[in-house]
Amino acid sequence: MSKPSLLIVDDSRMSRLMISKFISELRPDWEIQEAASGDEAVDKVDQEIPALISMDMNMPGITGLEAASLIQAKHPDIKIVICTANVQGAMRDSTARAGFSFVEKPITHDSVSRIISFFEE
Amino acid sequence: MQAVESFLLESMQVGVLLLDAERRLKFWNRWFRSHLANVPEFAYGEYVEDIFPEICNSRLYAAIDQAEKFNLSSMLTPGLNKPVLPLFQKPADRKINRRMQQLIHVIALRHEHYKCMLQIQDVTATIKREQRLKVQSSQLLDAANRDALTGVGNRRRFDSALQELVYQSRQKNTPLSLLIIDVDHFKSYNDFYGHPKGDECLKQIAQALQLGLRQDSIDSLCRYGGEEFAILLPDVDRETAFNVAERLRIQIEGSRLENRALAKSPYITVSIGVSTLHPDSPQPVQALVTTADLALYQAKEAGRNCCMSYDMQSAKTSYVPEHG
Amino acid sequence: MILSDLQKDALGELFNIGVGRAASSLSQIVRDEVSLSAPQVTLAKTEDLTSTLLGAEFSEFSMVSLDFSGPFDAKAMLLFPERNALTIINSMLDAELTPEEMSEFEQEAMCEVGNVILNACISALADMLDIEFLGGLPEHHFGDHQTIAAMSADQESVVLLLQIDLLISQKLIEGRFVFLLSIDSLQTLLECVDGFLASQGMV
Repeated sequence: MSKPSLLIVDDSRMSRLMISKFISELRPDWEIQEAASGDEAVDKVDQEIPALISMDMNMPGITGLEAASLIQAKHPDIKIVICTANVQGAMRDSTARAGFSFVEKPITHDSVSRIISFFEE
Repeated sequence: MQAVESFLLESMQVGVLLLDAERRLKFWNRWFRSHLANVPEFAYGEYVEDIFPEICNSRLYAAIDQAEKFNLSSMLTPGLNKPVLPLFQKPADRKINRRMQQLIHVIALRHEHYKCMLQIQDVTATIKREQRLKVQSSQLLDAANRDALTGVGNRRRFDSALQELVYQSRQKNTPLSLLIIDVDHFKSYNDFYGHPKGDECLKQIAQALQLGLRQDSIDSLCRYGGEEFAILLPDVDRETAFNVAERLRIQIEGSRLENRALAKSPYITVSIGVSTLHPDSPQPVQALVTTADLALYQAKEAGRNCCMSYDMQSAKTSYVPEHG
Repeated sequence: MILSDLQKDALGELFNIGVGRAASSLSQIVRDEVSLSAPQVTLAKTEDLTSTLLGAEFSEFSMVSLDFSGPFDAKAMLLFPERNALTIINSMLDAELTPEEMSEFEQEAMCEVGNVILNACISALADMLDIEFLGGLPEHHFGDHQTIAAMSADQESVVLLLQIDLLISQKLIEGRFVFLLSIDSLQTLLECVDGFLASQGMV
């Protein structure tokens, strides 16, 4: 199996740095790509298909959920994890119904471990 | 706790609870104890959520947690929170489980023994008063806009509705029609039957008009003057307005309100002037009223008990040609 | 004094988490979906507050404020144009009030809503930057441009400004989050932010 590739989608450069830092500690063999918006992510996925996407919710332009739905429609095999600080029941239900996993922000060692386990299960 | 502090807290007319850094109760004051339904014997040292299990998963618990973890203070208002603590104004309330309305402040403290203070105020009376005032205020507002005799809207209501509806018609780019209805020979009626009967007659006319109007138009019926009524019809064009006017005229005639004051007509009739504002025509608001008035005048001149419609475009009044 | 891109980013992410938690709490109160987003942080001089704040919409506003102290002191404020505050109150209380009908009761509720949002942001700040604050009780006022002018009387202060978008009952409501602090306090705050970035291996 080829090296797993992760696409990190977040408008905060700091968040992208933090996620990739934890990933390189926990899974140094993973390939990492970045996108700063939902639209950029959709474009990037068309060019090079990642195995896993970590998607921020609140971004300028389309929301993380919209981007995730667009991507999933074209590439149903990609596993998508939504990262958000807004953990309301309703939101959790709607992301689950759409087939995405859900990880609570802020980004810590634990939350990144959870992202990894969603991919590897 | 020092004697003077304890004395002060015990004398206060608000509830005070002091918790330590682990949410355990260190102190509660007399006011609080006296308003509880049951005062447990051994409360000091217990976790606040064990003393009051109902606060688990509540905003109050989250606020206490936030005060202990982050030293942040909060308030819980009766508007957004149902009464969470089992406090009652009087013993009779306990039997029917009617809790007092509570305004709770959760205050983070920097103190050796106490991490968090709860201050509870009984605001039941204030809330009752505010609800009563709200009801009164809406009744007053209603009365200010109502014609005391007939119960329909009054002139003030008409004036404000006119402004509002003209604005809306311009926004939505739809027409606005006005009907002014005047009771024929009302002065003679009053002279013959006396004023009390005249009042009664106006009431009946108002009722008859309401019967002739669609549900959503009834609200826009106003008593415009002594023996005049006005109806504003939004989104209604000239032809439809005239049809409504005719229908109302016939409704009044058909009510057969006796009028022996004049030999000419044995029953009460009305004359109606109709005018319509089109959003694209640059007419001022008052033009609608003056043209409807003009149409009304023409209706009287034409022999009364009829409807006349003013055409803004041709600046003429006429009967709208019959169709079909 | 200016914020570096990374500092702006860090603060932005911090407030993003804060408002996310606030939305969670508010949704429990109103039992409906609530969404809060807080795009970019800007730093401005207090005297420029009127121009950086929106124009005509903020001529009359509802303001919830609380003072907090710690390694640095600041006043945190949440501002909503008056009619937006009314929309929030009507959504939270499930009512249809007009501005004239707003009484103490509704103003208290607005104060509580503001309190939830402010506390969530401050606790996110404390959490991430690993610092301890003491937060006072919230106050609610109706203000106008004179209120803002009074704030700017203290020439030695700056403001961190964020636009806050609140989505509740399918209505989008725009507000402003303002952190009023002295230059010294800002300095300390940025030192804490730098400390945090360093601890994450980003300098």
